[in-house]
Amino acid sequence: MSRVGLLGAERQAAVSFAESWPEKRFTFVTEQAVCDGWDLENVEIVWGSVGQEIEGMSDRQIKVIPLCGEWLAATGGQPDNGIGSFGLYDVLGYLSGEFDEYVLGVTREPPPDVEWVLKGDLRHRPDMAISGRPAEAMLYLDDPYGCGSLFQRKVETSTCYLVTGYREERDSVDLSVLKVHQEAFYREDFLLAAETVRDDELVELSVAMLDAIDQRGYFSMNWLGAAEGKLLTSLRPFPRAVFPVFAECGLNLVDRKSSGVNVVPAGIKLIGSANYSSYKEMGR
Amino acid sequence: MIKVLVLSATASATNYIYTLRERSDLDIYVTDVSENAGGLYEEGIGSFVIPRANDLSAYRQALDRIISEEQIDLLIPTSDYDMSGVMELLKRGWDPPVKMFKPEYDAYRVLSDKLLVNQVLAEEGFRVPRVYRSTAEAVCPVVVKPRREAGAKGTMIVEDDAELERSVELVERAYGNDIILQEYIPGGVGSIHVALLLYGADGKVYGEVASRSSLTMMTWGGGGNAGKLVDLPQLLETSKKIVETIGGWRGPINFEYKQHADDGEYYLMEANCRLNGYSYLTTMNGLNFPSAIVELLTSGSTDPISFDDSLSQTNFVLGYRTRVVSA
Repeated sequence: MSRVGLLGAERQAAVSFAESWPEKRFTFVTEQAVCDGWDLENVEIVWGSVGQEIEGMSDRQIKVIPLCGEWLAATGGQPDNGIGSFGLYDVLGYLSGEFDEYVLGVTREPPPDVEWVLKGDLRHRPDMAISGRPAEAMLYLDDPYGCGSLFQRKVETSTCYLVTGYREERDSVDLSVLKVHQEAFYREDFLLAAETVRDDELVELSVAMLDAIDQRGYFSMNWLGAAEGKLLTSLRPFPRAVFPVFAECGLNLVDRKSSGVNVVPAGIKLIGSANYSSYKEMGR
Repeated sequence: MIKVLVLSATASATNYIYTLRERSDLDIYVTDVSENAGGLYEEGIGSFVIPRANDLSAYRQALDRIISEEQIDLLIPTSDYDMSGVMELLKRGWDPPVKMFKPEYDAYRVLSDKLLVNQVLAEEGFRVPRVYRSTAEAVCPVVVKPRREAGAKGTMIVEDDAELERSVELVERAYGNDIILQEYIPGGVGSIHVALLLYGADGKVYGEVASRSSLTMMTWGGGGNAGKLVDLPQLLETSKKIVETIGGWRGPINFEYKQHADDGEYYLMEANCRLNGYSYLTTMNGLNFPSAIVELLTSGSTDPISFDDSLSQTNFVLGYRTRVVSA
């Protein structure tokens, strides 16, 4: 299979795929009129709408990777897991049973007495991150982008970790543990600075949780380093824009050929730099 | 070799870094308060992490040290924070041995204050959104935003009267009590325009161009991250009149306008005393503002640059691309 289709290619992970494996050819599919990536020689960009047939895709053998919740639902559930849902409410709820002390649960109603963080159930909520006090929650129950509104207890910490990679099955996973230095929350969320670290506890917990839900395919887990210990705040079935760290140590996450559990070594720093390129406007 | 110190390593600093590093007669040095700012890791530049500009004493010490040790010739602040720090230091008598633009402090004080510039220009008859004095006076939809933050930071659009008080509280808690309640000007994608002007030390205009965004960072319209140049002489003329009204300017300055969805008129949203964030678009189109700024600082003059609709144009989309750097 020579070409890879990235669905929801307005996500930062799309360009990260294409730049990390320049020998592969990618088709970016997006619902947006404007998309980054036109300057990359191994990329073609097509406009497509979720749920509709995408022009030029059906007659070619293309491996398809959804990068966000809308496209995941439209592709019939690949990647896969064993609990039948990728919603954050269901995933964290399931993991709370076995890993209660390590999971920061979410509720559909705002917590009555603590500060909270607002999260999307099926995907990241666009625009700035929102947190608040119990009385303010009613402000944010509207959901114009269909993400689903969930509330999570706010934990004061400055240490955030991202565990991300690709899992085929039990004992077969490539992953990296990154300490996140800087992110930006706009229409899309952008990773701007992070660094791989060695953290055996996070590797062990993450692999155990992925096994517990039998997650197959790409995954991204957000962890907090809090006074009460490591806390999982989200687990979503999509990659993040950290592929350069995998490529740096020879792990191929497009056509995985490795076996066993492979962890990216510590000390690789990742920076998000501004890139300007010209684009062709797309639309229906 | 001319040594240029660029203050800040993101947004409009990107234009200076990407453009000036191509010149063999310049050495480029860049500062930022964050060791994770992308521009610090660009090849071919010298990088420094310095204290925040609001810690004036420590900020000045750091700049003095870099200017002395690296024998800097030109100093260019590129962020609102650095403009603020440099202008406050100049007001207090700072006189570093470098060439730099030195606008009048009184003009800077008006232009950098979203409330003050709105009030002054409204009195002079310029088209600006109405500013409400209290939540009781405000008519939704209302824009709630901090008085001095740059770009879209802390901005909320409130549709419903019932949400207004709590939205004000949220913004105040995050950004302090100095906030603005402003009339919402309706307009979708493509309604935000920027007029960029460049003034020399002699007060004359040496550069002028307008642009329009076609995609924004925020879903509600804040922060352009794609767009193109546009031929809008009336916007440039309005901007020059604003500068004249305020008392003149030295160096780059940009004005952000929103085109009203109903009447098509342009409303001034804010002024920024620097190149605009996505000004690398101008360099992509052959309008090299960073080089013109270097020429103005070194020789006092440069060839005027402006939009030429007879030339082919290039649009832009801004992406944040991750790459491995030396830790």
